[in-house]
Amino acid sequence: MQGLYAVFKKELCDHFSSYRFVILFALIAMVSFISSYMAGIHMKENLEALANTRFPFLMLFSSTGALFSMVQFVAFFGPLIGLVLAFDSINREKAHGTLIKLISQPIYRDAVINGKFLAGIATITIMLVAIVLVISGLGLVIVGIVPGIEEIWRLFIYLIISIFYISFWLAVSILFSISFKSIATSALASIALWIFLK
Amino acid sequence: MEASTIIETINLTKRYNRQTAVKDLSFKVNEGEVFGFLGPNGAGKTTTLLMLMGLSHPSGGSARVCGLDPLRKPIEVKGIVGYLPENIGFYGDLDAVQNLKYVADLNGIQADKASEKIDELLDLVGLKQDARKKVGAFSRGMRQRLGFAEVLIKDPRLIFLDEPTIGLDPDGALRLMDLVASLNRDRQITVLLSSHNLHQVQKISHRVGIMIHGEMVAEGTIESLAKEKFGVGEKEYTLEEVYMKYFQEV
Ligand SMILES: Nc1ncnc2c1ncn2[C@@H]1O[C@H](COP(=O)(O)OP(=O)(O)O)[C@@H](O)[C@H]1O
Ligand SMILES: [Mg+2]
Repeated sequence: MQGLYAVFKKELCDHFSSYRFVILFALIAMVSFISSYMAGIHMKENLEALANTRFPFLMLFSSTGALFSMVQFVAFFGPLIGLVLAFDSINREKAHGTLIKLISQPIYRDAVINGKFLAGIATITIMLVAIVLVISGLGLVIVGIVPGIEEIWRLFIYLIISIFYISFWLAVSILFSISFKSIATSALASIALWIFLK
Repeated sequence: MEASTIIETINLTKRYNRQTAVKDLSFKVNEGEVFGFLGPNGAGKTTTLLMLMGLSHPSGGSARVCGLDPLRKPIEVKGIVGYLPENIGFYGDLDAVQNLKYVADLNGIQADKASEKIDELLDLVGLKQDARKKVGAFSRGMRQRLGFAEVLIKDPRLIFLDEPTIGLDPDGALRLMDLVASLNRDRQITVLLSSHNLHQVQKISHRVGIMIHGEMVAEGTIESLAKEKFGVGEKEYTLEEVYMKYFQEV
């Protein structure tokens, strides 16, 4: 499908060059980084306790060394990431008069929505994978533990589930951006939904 | 020589909740002509164009564009029709070339062919020096010319122009109309031109249609419409006089 790939490419470019993405990424990277660093320090001080756990490496992601762990953080802020990435994806195009131009090209209308959705998923995937890899590296350096095969598997599955989880919220925000004409309304609706569910 | 029909509508109708925007519209556009599509605001011109593009579902009747039904074959129709909407929008944070590149991508044009085409079109519409400027900083006239380039990138057989000169200064409007005329002459593109600028429509149109309250009240060459309204005479009537005559009668 020609239209799908064209929209996907454009949207992915937009994501990576937007301030919104940079801010989101900086926020998530910073918080995950700090929480994992604290977890790492904590683990280093309690090495005997660590020896008795089944998956010491995963403690980097799940132990609440400081206030919360990286996993808790993603569970809490994940929906917001999904919502922020796309709450204005369709109504912005409508307001700027670019939507009518898009759909008067020889593409299916679904291609516009699907292309945006896939670009959002790709963005989320890149974000999460990058963060997990950075934290893993940090763990290797600070604590000096090496992940086992099973731990790698579990991390991988965690990543897949997180991507699905955030993508669900991405889809919700695209739906908002289709149903609400005004960008401000869909932004408010997204935040309201997030607060309501937390 | 009998020209072949490229657009045909039969009793095309569009109803919104209470009001009928287009009522039993039947008209034809011949291949290779400039058809002036006239009418006051709210007459139903934009609605008609949207139905011809397959972007709006008619409540009744049917349309054929190059022999295709826009309802059943919207992709094919959109592949041969270039549509310049009334308020065309662009991605303001991209430059002219990037905006054009995206439309080329959407039309499935190969990258190397696209950049060649973009160069040629920017030259044609006189935006060569502004190729790398962000479109957000473009003036109304520049945006309209960029819109033309975007419409032409798919090598359309026909183009629908919805009030392309609205909001332009007289000189800009004149140059745009010259461009339309030259596209029609040199590239044999059929043009369906909706406009309020009767003077310029008269200059470049082969035939005109006058639409009032969703109905086509007149269709034909300007002379034939004048003859119908004012009878045979020595005087040559302008499109404006003819239009006003029809307008007053409704
Ligand atoms: N989406 C819509 N919903 C309801 N009414 C509409 C819609 N679009 C157009 N109309 C109505 O249909 C009529 C024709 O509109 P339009 O085709 O835009 O006229 P024109 O382009 O000739 O100025 C107008 O009275 C307008 O209010
Ligand atoms: Mg209109």
